[in-house]
Amino acid sequence: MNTESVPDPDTGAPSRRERDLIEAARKEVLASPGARTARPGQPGQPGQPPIGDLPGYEITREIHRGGQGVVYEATETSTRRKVALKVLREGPFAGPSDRARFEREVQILGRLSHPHIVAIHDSGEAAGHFYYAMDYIRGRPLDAWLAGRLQSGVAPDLGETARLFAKICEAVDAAHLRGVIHRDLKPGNLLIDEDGEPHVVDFGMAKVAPGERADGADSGGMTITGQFVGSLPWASPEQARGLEIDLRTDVYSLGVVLYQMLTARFPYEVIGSPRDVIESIQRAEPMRPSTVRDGPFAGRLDDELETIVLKCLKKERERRYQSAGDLARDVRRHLAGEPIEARRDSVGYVLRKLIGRHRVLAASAAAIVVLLCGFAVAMSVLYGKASRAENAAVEQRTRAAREASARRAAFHVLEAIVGPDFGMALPALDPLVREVDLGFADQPGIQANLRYWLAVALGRVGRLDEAITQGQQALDAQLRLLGPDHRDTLQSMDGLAFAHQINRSWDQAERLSREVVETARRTRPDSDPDVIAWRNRLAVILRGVGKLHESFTIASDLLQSAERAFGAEDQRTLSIRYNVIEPLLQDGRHAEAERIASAWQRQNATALGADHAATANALSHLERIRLAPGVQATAAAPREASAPSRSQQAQPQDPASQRIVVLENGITLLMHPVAGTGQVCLEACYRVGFMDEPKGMTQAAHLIEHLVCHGATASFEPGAAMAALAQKGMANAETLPDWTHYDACVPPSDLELALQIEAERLTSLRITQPLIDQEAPRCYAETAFVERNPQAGMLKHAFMALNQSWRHGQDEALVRGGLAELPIPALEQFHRACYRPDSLTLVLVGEFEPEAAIGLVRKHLGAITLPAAERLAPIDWSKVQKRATVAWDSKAEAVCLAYPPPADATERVVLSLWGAMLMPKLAADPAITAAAHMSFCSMHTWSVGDLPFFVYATRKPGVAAEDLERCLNTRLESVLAEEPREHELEQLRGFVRMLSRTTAGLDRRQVEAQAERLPKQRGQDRQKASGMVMAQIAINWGVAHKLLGPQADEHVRKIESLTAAQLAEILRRNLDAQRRIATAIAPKQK
Amino acid sequence: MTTSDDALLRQAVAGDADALATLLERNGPGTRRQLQGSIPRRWQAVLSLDDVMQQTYADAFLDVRRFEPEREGTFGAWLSTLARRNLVDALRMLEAQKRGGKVRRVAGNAGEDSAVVLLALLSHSTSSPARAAARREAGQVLEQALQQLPEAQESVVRHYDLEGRRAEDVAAVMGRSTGAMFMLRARAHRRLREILGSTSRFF
Repeated sequence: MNTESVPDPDTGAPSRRERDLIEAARKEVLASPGARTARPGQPGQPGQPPIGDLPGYEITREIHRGGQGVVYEATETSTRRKVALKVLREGPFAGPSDRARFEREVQILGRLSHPHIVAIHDSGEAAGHFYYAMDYIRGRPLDAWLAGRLQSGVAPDLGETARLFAKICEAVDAAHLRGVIHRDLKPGNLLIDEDGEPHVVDFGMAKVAPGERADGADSGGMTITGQFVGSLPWASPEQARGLEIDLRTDVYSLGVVLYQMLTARFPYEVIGSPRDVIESIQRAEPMRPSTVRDGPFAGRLDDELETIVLKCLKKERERRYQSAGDLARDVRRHLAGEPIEARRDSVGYVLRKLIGRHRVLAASAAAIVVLLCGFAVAMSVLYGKASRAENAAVEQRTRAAREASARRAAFHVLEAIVGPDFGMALPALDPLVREVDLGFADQPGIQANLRYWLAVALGRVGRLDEAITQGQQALDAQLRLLGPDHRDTLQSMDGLAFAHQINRSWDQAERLSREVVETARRTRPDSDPDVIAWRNRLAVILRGVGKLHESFTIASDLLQSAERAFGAEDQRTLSIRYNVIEPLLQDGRHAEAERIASAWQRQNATALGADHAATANALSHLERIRLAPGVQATAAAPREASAPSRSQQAQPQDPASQRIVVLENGITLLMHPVAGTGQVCLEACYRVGFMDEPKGMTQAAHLIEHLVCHGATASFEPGAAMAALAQKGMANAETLPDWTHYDACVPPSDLELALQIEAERLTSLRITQPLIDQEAPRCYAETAFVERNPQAGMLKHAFMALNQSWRHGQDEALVRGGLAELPIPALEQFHRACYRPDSLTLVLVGEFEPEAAIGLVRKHLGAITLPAAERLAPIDWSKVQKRATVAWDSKAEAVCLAYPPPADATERVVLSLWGAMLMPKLAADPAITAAAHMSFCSMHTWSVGDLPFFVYATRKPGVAAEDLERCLNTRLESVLAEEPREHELEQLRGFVRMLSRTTAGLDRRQVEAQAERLPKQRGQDRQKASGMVMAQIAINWGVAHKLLGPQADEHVRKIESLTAAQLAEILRRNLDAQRRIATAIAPKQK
Repeated sequence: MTTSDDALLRQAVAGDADALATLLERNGPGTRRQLQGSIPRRWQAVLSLDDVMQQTYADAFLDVRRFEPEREGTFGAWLSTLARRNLVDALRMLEAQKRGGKVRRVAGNAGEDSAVVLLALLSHSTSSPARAAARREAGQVLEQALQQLPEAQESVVRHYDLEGRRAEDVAAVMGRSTGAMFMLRARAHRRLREILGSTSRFF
């Protein structure tokens, strides 16, 4: 074969220089002494099998490179048969476990013989390379095959798809019958040949089921318990957790594959961190395939196939098909028009399951707002479906269709109620009530269930009387149909008791709750989770009617059951603890309450450790006791025990101990070590009165996050509804995975200083009940939304981290990376779901000049549609405001503030457009506003890098353009009006020193002395704000300093050498630019 | 007898480096001509077409197995795409470096410093056990990803991004022009993103 270089007829001969360059490049890539092994796309490197060297085969090309091996297309020289050669990837350098696994794959494949399982022909070793030869399948992976057919215009055929899937299942079943679990079933391992026949390949991850031996070797020795094996998006819950797997694990993966075949998407989000994906696999209920609107079979999926796929995807393996054979048979039955074996979950089962999962949401009065916003869209769907069912009733299969419709309706109701979908259409609720009244008269059981959920929904939108009526009707029907002992009946009765409790009709509430408890305890063990919940309800109601002793007795008894049933650290248990303490406090028995809380604390600290959530919870109760009205005198002991006073804080403390400091404004600072990191975590949290339920802790976390991040205003009013409590520990991520309001993490040596500074900062926040009322719904919405949308969860965390990064600067890169990965639609979805419909978020990723960025923002704001009925594109600001006023009785306006970087930093734009972070009354407090804005401004001066940076603009309700403009101008004037004072400069330097200590090793005493002066230096608000402004700058500079190690000293010197005039100039330049850009993008006045 | 481009390409994709070299000799001059005059005068002292072409050839040796005729057209078109991308990368970074100057590195907002920030951040435990764990994992992932880079790419990332050396110093150490160093770095960043991205998506 002649491969010598010849002149190209068009280009002429390559010059010698060109040849030299090519040779140099070749040497660089191929002959580099440090060249790595087995890098994709690097031919001829060590570790890769020398082409043609395997005896008896001529390798043609590489087909696939996987984690374990490389597959080549090759020709068997003796027979000229085309084969696929799989070669162990690491060649002679492969470890013993890799070799063993590879050999085992060979042995497993050798035992399997099925037309739809790839067959092995030969195996061996050559020059240290292990390989085997198998059928060469001239085809494509399942997903590519399906996509290709769609692209080529082949109409997807449901029957054909089901038949193909059945064949796959039968092949997997053949493996199962030989005791082989594939463990890595996914479209990539299912090849479809040119005749459309499937072939299961890649048994590299396969495991021999317990009791079976494929090769006489120990079948269980290839994996370690706790180690994940497989491909995560297709993994079953038990597989993702690294638990023991069995045949049903493959059934689950097949379910995911079928789901993909039917909908061209995954059953749940599988993009994000491994933790997010695992969380989805464990918890997220698959979206019903028939609701996927853009799938290949949209609108054509029938109930049966959907039932089959959902049965495969059950989280509990007992509820799945027990083998691939069972699954295959049911698919074949479906294809033959015979009844399938799979059945949907009963409505009652789903109800109980959802009640269990969303107990807190269901029980929380504050969730009214969430439901208000989330219910009605699904109501519309339900109504439409129900109407369709009516049409179907005309046909012969009236009853079957009716049942299916009813089930769908129930599912829709449930999904809507527990779901976070916003964009409500309240008018759909009343049609639903009518539909349930009239349309389900012949389905009394389903009707009763629907009535129950209608009652919940009505209660949450504040229509308590109607809720009670529906709830009573549901209960009456269930008493008649199911009897008084049935779980659904008891659940309805408990719900009705709750409605009466909210309605303050205490007598009925108590009567119903007692009846529930008495019946339940007669027929069920005390350890039954429902019984525990019902008794807990009774304890709460009894406390409400003043029967404090009985309430305490029940809660105390319940606590033991709960600890046994759920564990001491479970949220439900922690909630019951609250109900033990509360009657004591109401009864004035503070000492007793304190004794109990102290005992809990000691017991938990001993059994679980000081940094455990339950220990922190006990500590928080001590704090709560101290804060209870009229116990100032007795408060001293617990406070000293758990939360030193300010003066004490300055003294060295053991960083391993956990402490809580309750600030004047109700914010609680919780301090605890982070296991294994040598660091101590400072958390700020806020307990709000209505968040009594366990979930409230998480929601309170979000709330405080909003308050802290967005800047609170007005004056603190210590009302009864906002008893300041510390209520949380963060011992492990498993316990409270979405606890994200964390504030600072510092080395133990800096603990006291950090605590003091953090306390200073948080104390300056002023919180009012109206503010909480305003923020809480969004917090609830976020919590609920994030639970169901891991990707949005990532986004939310990214936002939160952004909000905080101006002070800590540690998440910035990760945040940016995360944002860059997120598509704009995800952002829109997030914002629509979590914020009021008349607000929106825009994140632009890329590099922009200021004017271009503004143009882009305008363009995107115009393009994004609001989730209301009509589209508003492009957005007319005045129209939005008017509409918002009508819809929400508040003003809404988008405001973008543009912050270019310091002029001496770079010419390239570093721009952030930050929405109006202002609360309505902030205009009256320009200094605080200035501080808040400056902080966000400065955040971005160091946050932009080569990775795509972001422009963030949000429009928040409650801020009118004129208010903002006035506020901004006031702020600018106030900041510009005076030169920085000497003490502010000193403050700046102090912060820099503190923050650079970890790398620059500055004198601790000096830093501490500086920090001590801070409170004294903060006098008037104006000064405080000004100080904060510079503090933020200093922090950012300090963070940069910390990150840039070698140049830190020079940097510190530079900051320290700034004169007041220079600093003022920096500020002025910054603010001038802000004003200019803000003016440029301000809405035009008509 | 002359082997056709298609035949050479098949051989190259199968791992025949000689065949690829021949392909490059045939198609390289055309690509070079397309880029002629593309380097602004102010950068000609630190970036030459030879730099661009050498990097492009190296890319071709690295990535020829990924070449997909259905998507990328002829080999010549693919090579031109590689070359243009390299040139754009180099120019962008040179411009960025000029704008940023020293202050930008100090301020930490320079594009070139993103990996400094990234690694520093990744290796710092911060807010919560969960995040700390994620960060440790991410730090390990980054390190592993670096080790998968060709040596020259790894060196430029380590020297420039992670150790924070001056661009000119790194270029001198590596025996390349500043422009070529930036080009190599852009390539390394892309490859890092590929590696890290594939990890994050579990595929």
